[in-house]
Amino acid sequence: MAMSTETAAQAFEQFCDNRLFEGIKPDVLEEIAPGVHVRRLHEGEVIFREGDPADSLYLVGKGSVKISKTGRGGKQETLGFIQSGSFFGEMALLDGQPRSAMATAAEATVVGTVNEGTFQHILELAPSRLHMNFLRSVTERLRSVNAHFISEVMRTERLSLVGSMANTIIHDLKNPICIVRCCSDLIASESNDPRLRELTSMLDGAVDGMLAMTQELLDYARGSTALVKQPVSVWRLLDELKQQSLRLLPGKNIQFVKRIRYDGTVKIDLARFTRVLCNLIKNSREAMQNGGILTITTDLVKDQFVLRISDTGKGVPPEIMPRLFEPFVTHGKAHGTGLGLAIAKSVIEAHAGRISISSVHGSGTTVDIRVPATAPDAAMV
Amino acid sequence: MANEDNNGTRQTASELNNLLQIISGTSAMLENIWEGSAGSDKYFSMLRASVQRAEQIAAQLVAQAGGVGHKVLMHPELAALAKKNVPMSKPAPKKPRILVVDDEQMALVLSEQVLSRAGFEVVTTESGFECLDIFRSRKDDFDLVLLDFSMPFMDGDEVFRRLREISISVPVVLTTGFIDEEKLQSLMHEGLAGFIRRPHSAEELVTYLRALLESVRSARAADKLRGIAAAV
Repeated sequence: MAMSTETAAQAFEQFCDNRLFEGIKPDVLEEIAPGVHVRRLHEGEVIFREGDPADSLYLVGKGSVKISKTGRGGKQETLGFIQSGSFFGEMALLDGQPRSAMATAAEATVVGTVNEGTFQHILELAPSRLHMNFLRSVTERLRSVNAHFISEVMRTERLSLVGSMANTIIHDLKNPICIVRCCSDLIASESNDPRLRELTSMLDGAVDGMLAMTQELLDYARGSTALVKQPVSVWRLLDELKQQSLRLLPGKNIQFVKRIRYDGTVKIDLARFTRVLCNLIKNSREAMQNGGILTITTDLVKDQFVLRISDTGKGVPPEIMPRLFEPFVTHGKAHGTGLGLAIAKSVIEAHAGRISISSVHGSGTTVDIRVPATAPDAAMV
Repeated sequence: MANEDNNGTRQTASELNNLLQIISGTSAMLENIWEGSAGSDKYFSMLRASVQRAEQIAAQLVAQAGGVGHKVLMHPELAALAKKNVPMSKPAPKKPRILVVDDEQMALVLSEQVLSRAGFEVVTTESGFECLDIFRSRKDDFDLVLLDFSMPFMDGDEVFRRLREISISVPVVLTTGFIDEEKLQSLMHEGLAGFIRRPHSAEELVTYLRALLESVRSARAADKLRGIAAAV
């Protein structure tokens, strides 16, 4: 068993300077010591889950504890960390409600469990100090949650500002850039000079980069509105991918493998879904500068169409993983807007689906997309 | 906080200007070698007008995000020594050797062509790591380093600091589509010789680098640069 429980008065020493006991006399602490049970936890071990009945509060000896709550789409959102010398889990003990969040050991951690009986005992022995320590703890947490909330609100406002800014600028930029593209084509068509061909192809490359950036900004500013969903066969989707993106792989020394275990229909906005996938494939291509294998798999799991894109590239550094779907987060890309994954997330979520990324830095990345499949008899595109 | 708010805009402005640099540089070269029909001139005037329009829009974006609006800046002590109206054709005492660092290959090709034609000897490198490697083994070979600011893995800021650790005497000029005033001032304070904002024309780059190298020569002759920690 990963967790071991022990009751030992001598082990209590590591909790003596816990904030819960601040100002409480040593003889009182000595009396309650046998009621504190020591638990040694390994990293990631769950102490309690959201909704669990509450019967104890916890003192953190060594290590730290992560407090998280189920957020949108069932994802665990981290609320904060309880450090060594502090305590948690007291609210549910006071109001008798089930646990409102989940507590997990953030590293190898030692906690002291104070059950309801021991808690009552401390209350009887040192009521005023305990109340004061509680009040202080609750106030501090309230301040911290407030600060977190305000920074989140500001972040959301910031992103919406960026959206409106992008919209105006890209509309202005698209015109001159399209004219540059036309002029370049016309100039190229009037001469066979290889130096000139080389320059016009450089010009085209830069124009392509600029158009791709403006398209991404446009998609981002537009958000998830105006999706035109229709039933599409998986083969049709793959065909679109092949035309727009997959055909480029062999030239980059990338082997393409497909594992089609579901080839039915799926209800999607073909153009925007394809753009998302092309963007992901482009990311994979850029992650495999020295070649590699790109694998696309399709499955049907509980009425969900599951599409995975895996590469054997350099992977995503762990430090940017938590912010991967935030706009303007890029890693090692020239001419990236940092919007690709933010757009992918909004488009997939607009399909009532989910997108997640797992990656091992140095050995590859897998993107997992799940959207509801359609009824098999729906008219296909 | 204002800086964080503008992060996305700054990144966009920087990337758009980098691409515009390539577009305007390539267009100018196309025009130089054009030998097609006379009637095709209109394509070039359309091209010039469109690039100019795109540059104006990108400049608005730079202003909106609080970026440096000047096209070029020189360290104040060098600027004080700069002679006005340095002629484009003025011959240098010896062919100046420039190390150009940019992660974008197309930008490197253009810089190399422009600078070689203008009489510089050019060494190019695609990453900060490679730049440091070359510089470490040949640090007395270069008269100037022209450094791109936004590069993956090791950005211009870090490359500049590491170059400084190897040599405090080589002038480093930063080139970027976006940099905020505060950042630029702090780099200048640490001995950055100058800055040229993208997109810029071939003439702007060449004139600027010549003026800067001339100031560096004057400064060395007069030993006047104590204020920037003998940075150049």
